[in-house]
Amino acid sequence: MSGHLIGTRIREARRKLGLTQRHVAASAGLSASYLNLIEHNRRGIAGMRLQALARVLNIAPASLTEGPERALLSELQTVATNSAADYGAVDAFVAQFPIWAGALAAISRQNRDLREALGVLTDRLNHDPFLAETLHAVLSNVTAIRSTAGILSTVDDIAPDRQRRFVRIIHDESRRLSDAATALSAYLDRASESKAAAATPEEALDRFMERHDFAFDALDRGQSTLEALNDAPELDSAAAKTLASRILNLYATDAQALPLEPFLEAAKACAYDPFTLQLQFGATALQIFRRLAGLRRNGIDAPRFGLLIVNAAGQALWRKPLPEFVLPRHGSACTLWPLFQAFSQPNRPSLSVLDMPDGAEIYALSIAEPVAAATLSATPDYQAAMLLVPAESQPALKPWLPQPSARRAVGTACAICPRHSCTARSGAAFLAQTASPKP
Amino acid sequence: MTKSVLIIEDEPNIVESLTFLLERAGFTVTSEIDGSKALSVIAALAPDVVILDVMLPNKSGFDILRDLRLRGETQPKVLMLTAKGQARDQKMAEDIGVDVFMSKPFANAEVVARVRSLVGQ
Repeated sequence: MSGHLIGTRIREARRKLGLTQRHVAASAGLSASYLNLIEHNRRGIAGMRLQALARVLNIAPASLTEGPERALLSELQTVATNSAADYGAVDAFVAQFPIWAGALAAISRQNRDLREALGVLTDRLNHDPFLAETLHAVLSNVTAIRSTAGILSTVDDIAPDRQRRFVRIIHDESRRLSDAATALSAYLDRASESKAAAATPEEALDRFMERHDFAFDALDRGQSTLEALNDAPELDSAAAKTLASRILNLYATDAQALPLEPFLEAAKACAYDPFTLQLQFGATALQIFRRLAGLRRNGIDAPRFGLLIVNAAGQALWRKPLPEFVLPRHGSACTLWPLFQAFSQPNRPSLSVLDMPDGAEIYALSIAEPVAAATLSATPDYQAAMLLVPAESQPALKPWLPQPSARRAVGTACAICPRHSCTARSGAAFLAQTASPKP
Repeated sequence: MTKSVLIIEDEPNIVESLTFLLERAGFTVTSEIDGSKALSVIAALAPDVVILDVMLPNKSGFDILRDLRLRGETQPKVLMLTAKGQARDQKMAEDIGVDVFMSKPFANAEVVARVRSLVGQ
């Protein structure tokens, strides 16, 4: 099929050079009318005539005869089959719009990868024998507890021995339910830590970054990001590698601007004060935050920092969670995070103490700043960052991290937040309303 | 005449609570935990209603219901009670010939009401 596109490719090559059919035909020793037939794929061309045309168009003959990779054509043919697009026009589309064709094929492949990942997750829920058995056991336990408790609470004239037996049933079934829930939790934890392929490229990236704890000694020594990506078994897809490459390139840029040893020395001298470091090195706040968050590693005893950087759409660009502050992977994060409010007052840092539902306290230093310098012709894009410090680290950072009087009650995400009466709640919780979180 | 209910369920604590509720509602109640014996017990006891679990040892509730409906004898009403409460399970049960399909966990009052309606009370 690719051979039928020679004429289309000749026409595209001619148009790119701004040449007329008459000029090209004359230069190649053809009539204009014959060249017109060739360009509309009504006549074939090969041998000396093809080489002559290729010379006039200043391209290799092979680029006229060899079509795009089979994979690209195959992908777009699949798109055409699954949509209302004209299957027969795929080749012409590829020849005329190669960049758009490549982009469409990439999107189609990504869509298929995501569907497969979703299928893996769904299949796991539906067909995993341990999950199926455990969930069935849980439902049976709950059924027995609910029915027996209902009897005890609604029937007044139960014989004492029967009553004792029902109480015993509730006790036994509650214990079995607890065991089943514990086993299920452990199983899901093991599944998430397994070496199996991640469900999404973002999860693969998270695993890669977690293994390195956001510190890349090799990049600090000047090694290239390509070399760093060689040791990345977690990055099992092209999409995951692309995501990691962006992060590593940014890390390498930061490492060049803020070399590790001088930066570490300066940081220790000022109790890791990001404002002092920003002035000292002439760097942006986000650069300083990234370097601080990646300082702690083998051989460097720096404080633990977490970091979240988002764009104005709320998409996470840099995710380094703390055990005390989980960053949601899917869905929206808590709207009360000061990170999001930073966009309303760019370049003004704010300090908050975040009161988590489980009682943990996290210090959050937030700021939004433009990605590039403003110009007269374009509004700059902004990114916001939230540097996270666990409460236990605050005393060592006291010179620049005072204890604010007010605390802000936040969560991780509405779907899993137990603060059911929160006025900022934007969605239903998966968790049923139970005991209140820490007051 | 007292109506009878046969509970085919392998969770003894669920059997105990259902037995209590149905006896209190005036039914005669028996039970069987082994799915492979279900059909012979049904044939022997000729209950008015069978409460049938799906996940049973040795034979599933769907298979028991299928075999039961293939028999030409007097058919009991069947209330299927299952933790597998998805729509496709209900559709399968209805296609086989279940009279009532309920998911676990259940409300005590609803089970009793459904059994009563199956015997015309």
